[in-house]
This record gives sequence, C-alpha cells and structure tokens, in this order.
Amino acid sequence: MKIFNLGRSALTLKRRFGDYRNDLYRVGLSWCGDSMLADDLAQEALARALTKQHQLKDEKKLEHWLFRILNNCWLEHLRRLHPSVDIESLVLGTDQTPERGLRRQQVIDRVRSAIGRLPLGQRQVITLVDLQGFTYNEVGEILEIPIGTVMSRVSRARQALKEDLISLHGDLNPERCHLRSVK
Amino acid sequence: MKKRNNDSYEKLNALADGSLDAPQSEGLLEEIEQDAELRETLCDIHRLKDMVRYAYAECEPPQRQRRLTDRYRLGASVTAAALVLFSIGFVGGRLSLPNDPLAPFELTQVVPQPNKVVLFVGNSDNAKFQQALDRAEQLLIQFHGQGVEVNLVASAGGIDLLRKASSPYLQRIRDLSDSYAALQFVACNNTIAKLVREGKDISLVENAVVKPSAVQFVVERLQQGWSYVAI
Repeated sequence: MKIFNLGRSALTLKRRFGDYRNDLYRVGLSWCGDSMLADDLAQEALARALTKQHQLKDEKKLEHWLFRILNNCWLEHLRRLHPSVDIESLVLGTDQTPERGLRRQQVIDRVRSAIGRLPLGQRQVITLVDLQGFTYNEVGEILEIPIGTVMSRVSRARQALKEDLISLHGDLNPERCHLRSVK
Repeated sequence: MKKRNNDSYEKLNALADGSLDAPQSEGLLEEIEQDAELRETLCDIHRLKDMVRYAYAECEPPQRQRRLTDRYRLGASVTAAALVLFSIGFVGGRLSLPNDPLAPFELTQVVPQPNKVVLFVGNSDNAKFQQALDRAEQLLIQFHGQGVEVNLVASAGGIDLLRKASSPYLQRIRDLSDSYAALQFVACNNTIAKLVREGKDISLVENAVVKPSAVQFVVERLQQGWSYVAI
C-alpha cells in the first residue's frame, strides 16, 4: 500500500509540473525575448524535471527547483551560442519597437525592450522577483549567486528601468494610479 | 554619499520586494514616513514592478504547427526512411511495404498531426524501456489538453517491455494506462508469433493491444501525420 501511495504521489507531482509551463515560458521569454526559444526552454526544463524528479527532496520547493532547471537550460543555450562570451553581460539585441497603433501593445513592447536591454544577470533577477514573486533568498538559490549580488542587481536593474521607462517616459504606464480622495 | 544612496535604494527595493527582515523594514518605514523623496522613490519602484508584470501578464506559449521541441521534431522523412530500411533489413518480405523505397519521403507532404507521437522500442533494454515510458509521460503532461496522443509500440526485443514474464515495468504501465487515456501500448503480432514458435510465454500486460505488424502500424501512423521517435 505504501508503495502504491508513493507511486500515486509521484504521478501527482509530475502532473504539477505542467501547471508551471506558462510561468516558465513567461520568465523564459523575459530572458531571451524570443517566443519560440522561450517555449523550447520551458519544455526542456519540464523534460529535465521529469527525468530528475527523484532529486527533488522537498515538494514545497517545486517551483523554485523548476526555475533553477530553467536557468540551467538557458545558460547552456547561451554557452552553445556564445562559448567565449561573458554571459553576465549579454544584452538582448532588441530592435526599435515598431509603432503598432495600439497603445497597450506599445507599452508592452517598450517595457519588454527595456528589460531586454538589461544585462542578463540583472534581467534574470528582476523577472524572477517581479514575475514570479520570489524572495531575494530564493532568487539567490535558483541562480546560485549570493543574496548581496541579488540585491545589488535588482537595484541596478530598477535604476536602469527607471531611467528608461519613468524618467524619459513619464506618462508611459496607462495603468498609473493617481492618489485621489474617494468618498 | 553615493554609496549611502545606493544602500538606501537597495533597501527600498528589498522592502518593495518583501525581502527585508522585520527590524530593517520597521526602521526604513519610519524613515519613509519622514522623507517625501523616499516615498516618491518607493512609489516609482512599485510602478516599475507593475509595468514588468503588465508587460508579461498575458503572454501564452506560441501555438506551433507542431508543439514538440526540436528534440521531438524529428524530420519525419529521415526517420521514416530509417524505419523502412530497418524493417526491410529485419523483417524481410513479410511486410506489405510500399514498392517504392522512397515512398516514406512523401510523408513530409501529409498534414501533420500536432502532438501525436509514435514511440518505438525495438530492443530488450531496461534503460530504453524506462526512457520510453518517461518520454511518453513527459509528452502527455506537457501537451495535456492540446490533443496529445502517444502510441508506444514494442517490437522485436522491445516486446519484453509488455511481456508479463519479462517486463520490470508492469505496474508503471498499468498506472500510466489508468492515468492517461491518450496513451496506447501496441505490441507487434509478428514478434509474438515468433516467440510462440520459440515456445516462450507471450502473455502481455493487459493494457497492451496487438497489431498485426509494428512496422506497418508505424508507417500508417506516419502517413496520418504522426511524429515518430525511435528509443
């Protein structure tokens, strides 16, 4: 019976992997800027998770573990493309955003471009924090870097985003909330 | 002075990100209450967080014609050719294969069926059996809800995966069959007939279906637009 329950538990765990597919894709997209590549990275991360699930000691850390695998997939991809380049400093080759008419899409494109212009190390921490809500400790474990590095990268990334998105484009965010008195 | 500003900005970010411990948060919140500039900076940080979330809020994985990764997008023509050559070499004239040996190359012109995959196991190798089961399950999980179908075809030595007398994975096969209606285990009757002639026990796991010929079955699937993966 115990063996049966263990088997059921393993199957349940595997099904939970699929729940993270969109999250992995979204963060992958923010790192690489290419939807097809992001999809491949997400799928590769899930495939590896499936074959290495016995290495997951604590199921509560499933999300954190999956993103660590995603990071490994991404770094391997970069090493294949740029074997002799310092990947920490890689910046996405984002082009100028075409005018698409729709303001909403413009905002999205501009923010994504700004994210893409961040060095990879900063891009990774900011997206893990903002998109997935990981704490600095968790980001440090996922990317295998000290928490102080996470903190400084977040800070530098926000400074760069601020200059890019707020200082130069003060009216960029259509969702901007203004404080007002309400009755 | 600059370092102090940097430290202060890092702490404000950590506060906004919920990564500052309670005593530090308390101290910083008191400072913020007294300092309009800090309040404005914190407000900007929250705006930036909102923008990043907004920019990726509705992105969905792309709908590909074939939703399989490169690993599984196996040039159907090449693999089909290999399969037919394999079948000619091993099974001889017992199969009703197309007369034209290049016929499988026409498979590139069939309408692809996204997320429909034939996994083929032709060797008696426990590591390959496990790999085949893992891949089947991986595909079923990843493409759940997207019309995924997987046929795991066992032939020649691979039939040991489905034989009760030899398979180390009987329970896993039963579990997978119970969990995924889109998964089908297929055994090759040519191979079974050969085992009967050799006097071997041919009882199969109850979840397997028997088809007259594994190779014929795979070729038909390819003609229907399925992808083929040899394990």
